Amino acid sequence: MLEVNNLKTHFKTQDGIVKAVDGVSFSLEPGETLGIVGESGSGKSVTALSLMQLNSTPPGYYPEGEVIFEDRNLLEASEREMQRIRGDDLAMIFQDPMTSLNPVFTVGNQITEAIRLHQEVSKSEARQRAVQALRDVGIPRPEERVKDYPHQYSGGMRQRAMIAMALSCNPKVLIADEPTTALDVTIQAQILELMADIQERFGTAIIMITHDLGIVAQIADKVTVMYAGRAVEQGTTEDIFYDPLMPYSWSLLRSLPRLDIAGETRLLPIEGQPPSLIFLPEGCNFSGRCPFVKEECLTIDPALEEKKPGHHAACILSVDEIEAREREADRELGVREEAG
Amino acid sequence: MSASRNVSTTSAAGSEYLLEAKNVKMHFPIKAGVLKRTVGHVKAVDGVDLQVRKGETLGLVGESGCGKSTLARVMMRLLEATEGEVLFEGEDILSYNRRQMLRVRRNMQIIFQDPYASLNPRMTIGNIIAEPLKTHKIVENGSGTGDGSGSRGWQKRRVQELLELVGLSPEHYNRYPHEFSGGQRQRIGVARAIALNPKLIICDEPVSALDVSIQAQVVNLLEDIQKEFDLTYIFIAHDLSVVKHISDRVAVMYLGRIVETADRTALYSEPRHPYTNSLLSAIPVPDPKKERERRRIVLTGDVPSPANPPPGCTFNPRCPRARDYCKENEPALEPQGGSQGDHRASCFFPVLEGQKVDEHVESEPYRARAGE
Repeated sequence: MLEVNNLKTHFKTQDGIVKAVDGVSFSLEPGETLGIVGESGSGKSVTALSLMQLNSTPPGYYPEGEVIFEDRNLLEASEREMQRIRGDDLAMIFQDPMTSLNPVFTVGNQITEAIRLHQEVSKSEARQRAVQALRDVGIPRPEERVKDYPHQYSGGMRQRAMIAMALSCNPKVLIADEPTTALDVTIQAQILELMADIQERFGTAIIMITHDLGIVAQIADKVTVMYAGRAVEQGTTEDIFYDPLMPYSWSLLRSLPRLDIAGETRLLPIEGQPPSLIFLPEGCNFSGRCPFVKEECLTIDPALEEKKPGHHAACILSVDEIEAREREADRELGVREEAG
Repeated sequence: MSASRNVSTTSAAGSEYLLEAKNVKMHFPIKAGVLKRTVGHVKAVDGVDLQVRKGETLGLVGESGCGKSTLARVMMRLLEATEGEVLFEGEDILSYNRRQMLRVRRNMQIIFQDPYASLNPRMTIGNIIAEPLKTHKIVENGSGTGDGSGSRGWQKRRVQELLELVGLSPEHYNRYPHEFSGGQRQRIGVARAIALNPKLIICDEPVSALDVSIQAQVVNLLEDIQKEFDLTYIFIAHDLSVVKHISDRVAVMYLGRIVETADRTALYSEPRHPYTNSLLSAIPVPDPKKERERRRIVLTGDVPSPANPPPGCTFNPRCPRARDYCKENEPALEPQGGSQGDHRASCFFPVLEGQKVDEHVESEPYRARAGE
């Protein structure tokens, strides 16, 4: 349904060209959930904005790649066409529900506006749908709350309202950019449950962008790990969590304090900083911080290749080599291995 | 000193606690109207008893707005408590005058959450870290007398030593905060906090603003420094995984009160308070198989306003175990039988053994290979 091929989004700045997204590919089927994980600055949000064509151009431009949605390349679509597609087919929710709602209009107004932009319905009909949308996302007493302003909602309710707005036109793809990062864990659990419920009811495909590997483990079917603007590992959620084939994904998992593991293991931090997106290092982008770095890594820039069926990683080490190094490092960390 | 219910901590010298809060309340007035009359109070901290032992790390967790940062500020006397006592090494610091307070502050430092807002952008790193030394007029032998002049050279050496200690280069002395990344800035905050050789450091969400890979660097640094200088930490965070990793004991706050406190293992494996249990079950763990099999308690509704807390147990409107009794009576923080150590929870119907939702989280091994 949605296919992204070698997407590149660059930005011209005074200091040089920032390669915010530099070759990302993935596909998405109806009802599927793709998790995109990475640290801040890894290009995950810009990827989402590129799908929606919401990057300001200039300074941004797309030197290469395509975003195919139902046989059309969205990168070539006109602004007028995109306005129809946004909301109708692709909808997006953002991290901060307070800044993405307009404080001077009521929540109901804003949802009704979205509905009337996309569908030929009367004002009262749109109003009814807005109330229904709020009911769908679990806002209590929606007939009254529809008249409230955003500041009268709590953080969790605002995010629900955002989701209601995003879903009001039954989009095929819901892009969620860190939707729960600003919320407390108990509210986060509510929102994640709501998203899963909506997916089941409407068959919406979800792209979940997050830095939280726990959320990915909870809801994603497949995962793309991003580092310095590139997709460095792709596979099913099990592939990434149980058999990471790119040292970055492995390191991320080992740098996390774990709630679910008894006993004490020291955290394994990833030393250093991510590279500047203007002056990317020669060779592998991760070479400067990689625990398994070899001399060749400093000169050879690894491409994303299929290491195991359906499991892609960008690393010049062979599968056996990576797995052996990971096992060895795990032993040193005091991590036990489960048989079977 | 007034007669205390807690017998073990009455004498100053023999106190096993470095810091102790007794029935601390912090109420902020709500003003309204032209005359700015007080129409109510936000009960940010509402009767907290808390003990911090020497050399331990006490984790303080809770959702935003539960009062954990306010409590920390009251305990450092950055805010004046409405009621209660704060004992540091057995002495009530809330009755101290300015001069006495300055002396005590040498021993208690704080690291803030936002590494961008907590460093003055117009000061060099050297000046930022040297500032506590100047404020407290610290000279070479470490005593707090002397006027601080003539010790510039020593101060500079000390700052460079501190920079090295937190994993930065001594050459960074003359640089400004904007030249550093978030993780490096937090290291600068750590260096400033340990400059005076304090006994206690309050870490207020020190890693929440950092990326996971950088977060691990700072957590490890805090652990190393604690060992090296024999520090006591109060570690405030909303992330229960980080708190589990770093703490010896944990206190859980809800709506301005401590609802459960226990040593780390007991709290995470046998939570007694339903709120603790639901918090633990709400956190997604990075393991897809466990996630799929997990049962979780999803709490309904939001945290009530601390200006108008519900009657009875403040958790009752969201509590899956609440009964009518909970709406009328306030539970006290009481010892829980069955588990070793001082496990306390304020609940009439605590979660008992075998009732914890989410039993299989906390497994031993790490690496379960898919499809093998």
